[in-house]
Amino acid sequence: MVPTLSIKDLTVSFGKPGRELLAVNGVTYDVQPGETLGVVGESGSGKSVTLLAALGLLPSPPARISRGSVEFQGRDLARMDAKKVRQIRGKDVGFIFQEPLTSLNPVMTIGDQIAEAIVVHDQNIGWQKARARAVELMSLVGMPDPERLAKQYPHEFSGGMRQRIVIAIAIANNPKLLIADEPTTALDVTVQAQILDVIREAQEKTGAATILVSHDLGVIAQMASKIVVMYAGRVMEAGDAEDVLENPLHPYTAALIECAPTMESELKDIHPIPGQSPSLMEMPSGCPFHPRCRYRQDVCASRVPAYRAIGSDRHVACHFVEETAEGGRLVVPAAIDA
Amino acid sequence: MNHISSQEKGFRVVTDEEMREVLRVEGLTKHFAIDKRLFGQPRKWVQAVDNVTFGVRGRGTLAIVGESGSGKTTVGRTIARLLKPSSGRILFDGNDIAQIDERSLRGVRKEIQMVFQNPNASLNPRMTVRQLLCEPLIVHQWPKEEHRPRIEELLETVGLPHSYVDRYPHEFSGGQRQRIAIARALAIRPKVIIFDEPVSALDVSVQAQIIQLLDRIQADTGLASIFISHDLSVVRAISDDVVVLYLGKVMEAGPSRELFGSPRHPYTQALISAVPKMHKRKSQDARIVLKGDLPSPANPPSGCRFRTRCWKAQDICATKAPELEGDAKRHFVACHFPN
Ligand SMILES: Nc1ncnc2c1ncn2[C@@H]1O[C@H](COP(=O)(O)OP(=O)(O)OP(=O)(O)O)[C@@H](O)[C@H]1O
Ligand SMILES: Nc1ncnc2c1ncn2[C@@H]1O[C@H](COP(=O)(O)OP(=O)(O)O)[C@@H](O)[C@H]1O
Ligand code: SF4
Ligand code: SF4
Ligand SMILES: [Mg+2]
Ligand SMILES: [Mg+2]
Repeated sequence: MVPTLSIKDLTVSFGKPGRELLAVNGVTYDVQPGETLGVVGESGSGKSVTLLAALGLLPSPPARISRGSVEFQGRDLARMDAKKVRQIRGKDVGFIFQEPLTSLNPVMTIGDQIAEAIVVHDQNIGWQKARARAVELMSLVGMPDPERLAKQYPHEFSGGMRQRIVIAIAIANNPKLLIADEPTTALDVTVQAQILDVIREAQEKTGAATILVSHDLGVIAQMASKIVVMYAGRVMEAGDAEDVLENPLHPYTAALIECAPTMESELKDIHPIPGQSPSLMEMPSGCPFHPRCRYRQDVCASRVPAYRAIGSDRHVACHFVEETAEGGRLVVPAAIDA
Repeated sequence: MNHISSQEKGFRVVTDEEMREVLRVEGLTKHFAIDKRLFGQPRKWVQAVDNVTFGVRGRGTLAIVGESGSGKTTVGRTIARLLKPSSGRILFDGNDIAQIDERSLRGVRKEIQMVFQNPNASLNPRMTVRQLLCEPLIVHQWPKEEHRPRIEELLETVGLPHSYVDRYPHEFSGGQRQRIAIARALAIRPKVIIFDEPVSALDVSVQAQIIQLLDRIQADTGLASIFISHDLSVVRAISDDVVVLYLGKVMEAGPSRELFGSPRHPYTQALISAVPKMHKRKSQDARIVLKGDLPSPANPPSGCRFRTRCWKAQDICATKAPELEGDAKRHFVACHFPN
């Protein structure tokens, strides 16, 4: 199958040549039609920059793609003319961001905003039909009394309702790709549960490939079939979401799972990762996780581990993960006390 | 206000627990005026906190949970007396500090400290770590010769190297800044610290560091704390007791194990159920997804405030507010039809 979006070796830097800061470093992943890919990582790990750069949404300068390629439905975006890329972005990709208010127009009724998103990409439909379709979309995303609410303005809605409006706009043109970047981070858990359901339904209705970015492993576990774990601008591990969460191979993935409190864990089960994520200015040499890794060896500080396939369905970037008959495992001479 | 007495009655079940309480609020109420300044119209009020009662046990952590706008911060700021309560009692060391004046408050401020979510806002960017930690010592007139050793001790406690003492807040990461804020709150050895979402802005790996730090500090110093959070998995891990707020009212309260083990209020059940679980295979229970949003606190529903989102609501819920009633395990619930 041709992936809806395929990112290969994407490398993105900020700043002037010679004094560049690498925000994204050799990231590779793809998402198939109808599939939900979860991208997880702590703040600053490059989750958003990867996607924004891939879809040509980062202003350049200061951003620069220095390596890699991005294909949308098998077509290289870099070789397409700017107009075509804009068209794909507007019609075939739906965006849902963390803060819904910034993606809505404060002086336009929400019904008109949704209708406009339709009219822009389908000149033949006409405003009247578009408005009717807007009302349909609003009820699809679970807004009660859509006809009345369509005449209201964004500021009259709660954060959860605004996010529903954004989702309605995102799916208005039956996108091929849905990108949800921390869509529920600003919301209460009860509202988060509603919005995740709406995103799931929206995806089922449209059959769009979905990329869900979150720092919350629980959200990813509930929603995604595949997972990509990012750290310091690189992919550390990727594979089937359930497998990775149950049997992480990369030390960072394992550490991330062990430090996250869950509704089953006791205080003693929560193991912090020592230190903190590196800033772009002081990226560690070798494996970017090595200053915090309890399994690090001398080689980890000097050589960047290759991102490679382990077994049929897993990719890992660690010197000490080996392929075995059951899949893979971490084999290190001895753990050190970090 | 006959609600108060019934709440008191509930809490009075276990008297010896109360004996060990360092802090107790009874019928705490805070209304904010939303002054529209329209002629002839009465002022409107937000009932941010309405008749809240609970006790904080020594060495214990009491967590306050609830959705945004439920009144968590207002409870915290009122107890720290950064706000004056509209009514109710705040019993600290046997004295009611709810209405005492600024001068008498000095003694209280020494004993009850508050740490906020955003350390950037609470740490003066023009002060070094040394100055930040010295300030409370100076304000509360600690002998000068004790400043230096105390600062060293504090840095040790929160796990920051002594060499950082002359740096400014912007030279630190979010987690380190929160350590500085915690050290500052600890400086004059308060009996109670109120933490308002202290880890919500931090990355999960750093959040875990701070959680473990707080636990260690509490074990070492016997500090009692109020931990305000919307994150139930964090609360479950670190709290001894929990109070669940909804639109300014207590829905359910009790020992953590009890409350998370067998939640009795529909709202608590929904909150717990909404937490995304890490392992799909293990979490087969049907999820409860609440309908709708939090109603406006300026205009809360009649009767039970949760009724507009409650799947168990009956007619009586719209007319009669359920009272908070407790059992022998100090598990309290305000619902006409609890589990
Ligand atoms: N100074 C004020 N004036 C008017 N209303 C206020 C004031 N402070 C708080 N409120 C209102 O009181 C209610 C409770 O607010 P509070 O900040 O205590 O909630 P919270 O539970 O801490 O929410 P969050 O999770 O968003 O921090 C809200 O409706 C809020 O808008
Ligand atoms: N416009 C920009 N200029 C300079 N650095 C940037 C810019 N945007 C993002 N970055 C940096 O790139 C890194 C990755 O950012 P981002 O992708 O937003 O992280 P995430 O989404 O994983 O939290 C961070 O260190 C961030 O500070
Ligand atoms: S390469 Fe080394 S430092 Fe990096 S994760 Fe593997 S063992 Fe740890
Ligand atoms: S009192 Fe009624 S509305 Fe309120 S929680 Fe109980 S059943 Fe639901
Ligand atoms: Mg981001
Ligand atoms: Mg608050």
